[in-house]
Amino acid sequence: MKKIIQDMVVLFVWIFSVLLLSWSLIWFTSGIRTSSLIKACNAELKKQGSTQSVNEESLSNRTALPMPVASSLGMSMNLVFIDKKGNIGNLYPLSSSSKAINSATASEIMDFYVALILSNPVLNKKRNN
Amino acid sequence: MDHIDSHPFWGKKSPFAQAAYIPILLYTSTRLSIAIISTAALIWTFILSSISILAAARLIPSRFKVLVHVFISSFWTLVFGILIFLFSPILFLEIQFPLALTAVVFILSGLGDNMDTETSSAVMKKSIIQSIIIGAIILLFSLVREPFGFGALSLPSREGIVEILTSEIASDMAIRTVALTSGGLILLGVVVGFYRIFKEMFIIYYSRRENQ
Repeated sequence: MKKIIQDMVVLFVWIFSVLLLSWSLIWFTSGIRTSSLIKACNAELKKQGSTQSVNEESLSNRTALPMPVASSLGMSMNLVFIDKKGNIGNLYPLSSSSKAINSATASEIMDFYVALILSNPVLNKKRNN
Repeated sequence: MDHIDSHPFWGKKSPFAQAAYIPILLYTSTRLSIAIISTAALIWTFILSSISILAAARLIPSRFKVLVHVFISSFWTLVFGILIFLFSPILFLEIQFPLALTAVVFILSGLGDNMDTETSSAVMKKSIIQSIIIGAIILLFSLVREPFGFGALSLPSREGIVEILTSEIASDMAIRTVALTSGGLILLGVVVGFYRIFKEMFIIYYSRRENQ
């Protein structure tokens, strides 16, 4: 009996340590991952001939998030920024087909994906902090 | 017969011998680009998980070792996922599902079961061979499914999946079913059929040799 309890304590220490390590890794790489997303988005905007670009400095209090949209026309990969009030601004392209697919996709489908992103409880908590 | 049962390709834990390998095999072999990243993820997870488990073997309670192995292999999969995200966020979005299955494959391979009775070098050798075998099967499947199903070949890049060797004629002639799950299952069925015939031949050959 004592051995089982001992083993269970060791197991919980393992689980806690690995989860803590994973969480720290995600937390500390958050900034680099956002820069990587913005870099990919700017490269795509440039490729599409747009003069617009996403500025990392203008990110204050906003969370950058990749947003895939699936419709009958295909899958488009986008970048969105969410502020603390839950507003999503423009959809920036991450893949070459994003613009064409998004403009031809019904607004109901786009609204569904926006609602889906806003209903994410983890993100909600992060926004309200 | 034991050496056949424990063989990484012909044995009981082979990808062709267990139905649990079917989801990862079907999903990752749709496109060559996904197959390449999945193979890299498998090799990374297998090697680093084996090293971590070997290093921490004394600290893992034998009663719950599988559970601890699940957490260790999942952690290394996460590290690989973050590295891919830094390389290309779009590529990460494309491969996040097969990536999640990598840790499951490590547990399925049964590598962690006998780690306490084998030497470190034997475990590492097994780990590398097993991950390469699974990766090679995935790559071979994708080399059949993508060209015949899409009429193209794709490679992973910073912009996500980039298609090479595309042509309109090849795309028109492509048999879409091969790239779909149904086609993958048909292909897998044919390969497993041949695999069993060859395995039977090997078993007969070895048992005759042992009896002589």
